[in-house]
This record gives sequence, C-alpha cells and structure tokens, in this order.
Amino acid sequence: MKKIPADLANSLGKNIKDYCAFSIGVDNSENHCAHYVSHIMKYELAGATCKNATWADKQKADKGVTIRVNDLFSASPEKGLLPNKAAAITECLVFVTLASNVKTVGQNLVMETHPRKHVGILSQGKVWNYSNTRNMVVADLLPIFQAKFSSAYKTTGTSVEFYYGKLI
Amino acid sequence: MKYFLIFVFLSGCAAQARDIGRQPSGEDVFGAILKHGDSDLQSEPLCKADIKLHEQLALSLSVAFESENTALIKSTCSPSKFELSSEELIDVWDCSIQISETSDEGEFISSSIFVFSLATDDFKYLKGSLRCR
Repeated sequence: MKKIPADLANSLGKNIKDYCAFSIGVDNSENHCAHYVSHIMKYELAGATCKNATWADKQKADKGVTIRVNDLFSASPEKGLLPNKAAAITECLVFVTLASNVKTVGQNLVMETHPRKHVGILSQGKVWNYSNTRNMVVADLLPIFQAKFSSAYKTTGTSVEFYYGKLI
Repeated sequence: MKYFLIFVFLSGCAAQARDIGRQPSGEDVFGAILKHGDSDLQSEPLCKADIKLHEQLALSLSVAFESENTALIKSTCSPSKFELSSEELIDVWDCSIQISETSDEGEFISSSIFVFSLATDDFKYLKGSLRCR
C-alpha cells in the first residue's frame, strides 16, 4: 500500500499537464480524475494508462499511470459504502458513481463502466480531486464533495452512491 | 537546380501522403465501430469490461437522454502505428469518438472516449486496438 505524499497540498490548482508528459495531459476535454489520483499515488495498473493512449506516447521514456476509475476501484484491497468506512480509516480513495454502476460479485464490489464516475483522495477531511470543469486540482471538504456530485450525477431511476477504497 | 529540389520536395510529400493513403470519412469511422458492436470487450486489453462494445456505446451515448444536459460528440482520425499479434508494426488510422456530457450551466458531468485503429487500405477495425476511458 502506498502512502499519500506529504506534499499533496502542492497539487492544489495544478492542471493535469503539470503531471503528465503524454498526449492526454494536454487534453482538457477528458475526465482526468483517475489520471490525477494515479499520478499522485504512482498507480500503474494493467490496462489503460496515459502512456498507452497512442503509439507516439508509447515511444516516450516517461512512465504512464492508470486512467480509469473502475480500474482503481477494482484494485483497491478493501472497499465499501462510504458510511460504512471505519473511523480509523482517515486516508483513502473516495469514489462516486451511480448505485446501478456497482454490482456485488461474490463478496466483492465491482464498478462497471458507466461514464458518471469520479475518484479523489481523502486526506485530512478533504477530498483532493480533479475538477474537469475548472481544469485544475481542487480540495473539497467531504460534505461539499458529496453535495456537489449528488447534484451533478442525479439520474432518474437510480441513486448516487459514495464508496471508500483503501489505498492500493 | 532549384526546380530539381522543388521536384524532390514535392515528390517526398506525395510519397509520404501515399504511404498512409486517404483519411477515413466520418461514415467510415462510425461504420467500422458499429459493425463490431457485437465484440466482447474482454478481448480488448485496453477496454476490458464484461459487456459488449454496443452496450458500452449505448451507455456512453445515452448519458444526456431526457435530461437538460447536453452530450457533444467529437470524432477525429490521425496517422499512427499498430502492432499486430505477430509483432508486425503497421501504419493505421487512429480514430477517436469522444462523448462529453455537460450540464445546462456548462459544468462537466462525464466523458467517454473510444479510440481504435483502422487499416489504411480498407478502413477495417483492427481487433485489439480499442482504448476506452
């Protein structure tokens, strides 16, 4: 399990291009939430990364990182509904998606591929996450984060759910 | 000498253009991916999911269904390379379809991107080339 870097606060206000040397890093139209978390935490899991986005990117020497929210959710060693998070867990990943986008398979929670999903890093009561509207890193108090995404993701026929995931 | 150099330069440009050939049209791009809608995404290493491609497209294209949000579709192609399972490296067109959902106030809600390679001669979709995010 990796630890959250001590200089996490330095990421506030930064654009993803400040972290990523690949073509995705200069595209502000994409969802960079998992991309930001992975650059901060140095998560390079199997599957889609910023390095394997194009052939030209693959030729660069830099290391790539994971870019899909569901890949991070899947790799988290312990996850559950946020209200069920033990109080002792003060630093973790926080996920938000539609309730219909998470299934229970055996004992495990599996996040599927609905586009409405987001992830941030919970540290010191704030969720450090990438605002794709403002194209920069923001830090929201947890209740503010929950209110923001409950409103943005609300959809007829399902609810918006928040999950915690222990650091990978 | 000047005309010779101009001729060499123009020949070089023409040769480069011939190498990759005509760029696929929008109809070629959408036709190629829709034709493979029944593909199982488990066989796409960079787009793994327990559903079929047409189901993922339906999820992504329906984000603003009966809502005040707007879904914008952008598509483009650029020359690239693709490594076949035989490890042979071939020229391809890398084509992307991006669906961006925004609220009526212009707030980012979600985005989906499908990037895939098309053969340069017949614009056929190359299995294993799909990248989703």
